Amino acid sequence: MATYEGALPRAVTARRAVARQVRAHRRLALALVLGPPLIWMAGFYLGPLVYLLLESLWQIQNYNVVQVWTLANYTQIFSEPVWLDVLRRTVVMASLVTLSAIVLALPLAYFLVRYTRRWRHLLYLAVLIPLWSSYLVRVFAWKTILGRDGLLNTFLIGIHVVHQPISALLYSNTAVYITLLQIWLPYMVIPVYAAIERIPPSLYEASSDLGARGWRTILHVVWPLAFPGILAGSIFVFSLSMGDFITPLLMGNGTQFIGNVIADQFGIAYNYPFGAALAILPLIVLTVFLAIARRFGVLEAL
Amino acid sequence: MVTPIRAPDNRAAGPESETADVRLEGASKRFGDVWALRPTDLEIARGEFFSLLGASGSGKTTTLRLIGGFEEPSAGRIYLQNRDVTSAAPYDRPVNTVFQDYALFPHMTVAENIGYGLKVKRVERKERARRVGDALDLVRLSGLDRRRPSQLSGGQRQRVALARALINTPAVLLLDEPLGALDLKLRREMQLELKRIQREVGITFIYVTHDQEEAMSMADRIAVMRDGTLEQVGPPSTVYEHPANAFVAGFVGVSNILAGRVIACDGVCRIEVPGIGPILAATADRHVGEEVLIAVRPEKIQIHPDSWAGSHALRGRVADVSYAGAFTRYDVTVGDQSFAVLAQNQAAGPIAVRGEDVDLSWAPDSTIILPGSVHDHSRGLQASSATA
Repeated sequence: MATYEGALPRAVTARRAVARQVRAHRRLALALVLGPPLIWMAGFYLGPLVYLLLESLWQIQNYNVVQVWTLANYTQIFSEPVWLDVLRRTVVMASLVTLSAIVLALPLAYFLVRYTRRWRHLLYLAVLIPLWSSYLVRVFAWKTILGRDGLLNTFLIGIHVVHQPISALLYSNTAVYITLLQIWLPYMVIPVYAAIERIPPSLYEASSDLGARGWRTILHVVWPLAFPGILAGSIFVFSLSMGDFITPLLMGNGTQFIGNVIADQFGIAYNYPFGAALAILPLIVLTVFLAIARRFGVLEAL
Repeated sequence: MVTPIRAPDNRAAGPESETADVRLEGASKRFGDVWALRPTDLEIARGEFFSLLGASGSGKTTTLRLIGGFEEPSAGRIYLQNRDVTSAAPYDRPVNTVFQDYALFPHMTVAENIGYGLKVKRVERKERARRVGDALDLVRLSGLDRRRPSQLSGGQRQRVALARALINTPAVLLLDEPLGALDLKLRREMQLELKRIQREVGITFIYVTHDQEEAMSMADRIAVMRDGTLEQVGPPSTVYEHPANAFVAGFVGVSNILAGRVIACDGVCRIEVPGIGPILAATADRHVGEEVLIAVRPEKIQIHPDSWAGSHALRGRVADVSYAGAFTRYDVTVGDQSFAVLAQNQAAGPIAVRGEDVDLSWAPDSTIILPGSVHDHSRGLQASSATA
């Protein structure tokens, strides 16, 4: 086949010319590769965030948003204790969910990596499969489990632990906690599993060889090497739990979390600027969290 | 240099403990249908530098892992200093290991890596720092204690792994191809370094390698392994000069192996090799008519460009000449057999060229009659001809 360019179709020569140009201009190549995602991030992620910040400095007049600068939204947040109470409650809930996820994910991931071989991928898949189903489906699944005529009550009555169905299972902070934990747990398992899987098996042998029993190996070798994965998972689980307002709405007893009060401001309360100011609060919390994580070098490990 | 890292004192006591540091009694390991190690007896003496030599899959690493406690034998027993450790966990054995990939803890500094064993044994901080310092001196890494493994060269990592194991003053140190990842020059340096350290600390070293030169130059004794069995155990010179079979003859060094029939024996045996002629062997004690395998080392053969006056020379033609500085390798075809001949370049350069007719000769006591019958060696022959 002829390889000199004169014999080639026009389109091919044109394509080669472009390829040559791209090779010659590395900056252009870089721009072509990075451009679309950067534009996407700037337009649909950074833009709205900036807009949110601006809007939080505006105000409502006659049920309309007017672009008049004010700090009133923030002074309101800090003068009425209810808002910081809601924030504190949300942080406590998100922290509890995150810590519980660590407690569950670490042994699970360690077990999968160390003690399964043939079943490992299947079991790992079992952790991931819930992510394929809709978030709402998973929340409603917990309703059928925890409800008055739900699976759990039926079971407890069946084995004669209780005689009356317990109605306090559903519509409680406990139900919110259980649901959040189950829904966001995979986001902890994935990075922790990845971190533990990266530990070369010879490190376990070396530790044992040097005199360490199992638990000391876990303390001195597994924990520090899994830690970046744990912090990475914590970032996911913490921020997802913090922003969730559907689960408290469907599973809770009316207790408000930060997501709910923000949603209310953009809904029934119709006070966008105040809602925007409220939305800045979890952002600050998460930024502090990320800054701490960064100090531990976790962002590089992601 | 006086170093505090020494073999424990209790090892010097009692004639009973005098026997062996490591003893395998019928120890074997099976993985499913595969014998990684067939039932094996082995004794390794105190303070010995012992090398397990074999190709990959020969069972040498399995043997090491059985001694280290990373695998439990399928049958048989393992003793360390007369204590039955067959089922003891690695942390319950007076052995430490230098792993092939070094297995340094990436999240710890050099000093933390080396001090890990002491930390686990709850040695108090000051004492630990002192001994880590001594260990760093021993492996000549002083000043690098704050580095992380990722900031070290391969040779330095190897030293850290060594120091980390030695600081615990094990009775036996296991080394699993410790120099495998290093380049040739560094390997030679580390070989000398390891021998120096072994002399200084007096600890029994069990050294796994596939490099026969390495095993020969370092070890007091070598065990040549194949297919999960010990083919021969002995000092390097014995293994080289008196290989137990064709496999060992071909695996340790290069051998020219010939099959023949004993036609006469009176002090010296005459062996008729078909297509080549009679060959003299100094070993007696063979029956006339017996089929035997004989081996001749390439460096024992003299090559004579002019025809040789002495008796029993083999006439052949030079098929290839490989000049290697200190010596030259000639491949000489005699009949249908190719002989490897190594000659020192005492004069300048090769003394024969390709296509030239030459005579080959060697002293009768350089002819090794391999023990056992020809049939025992059929597998070994293939292996050795592949090596040569």
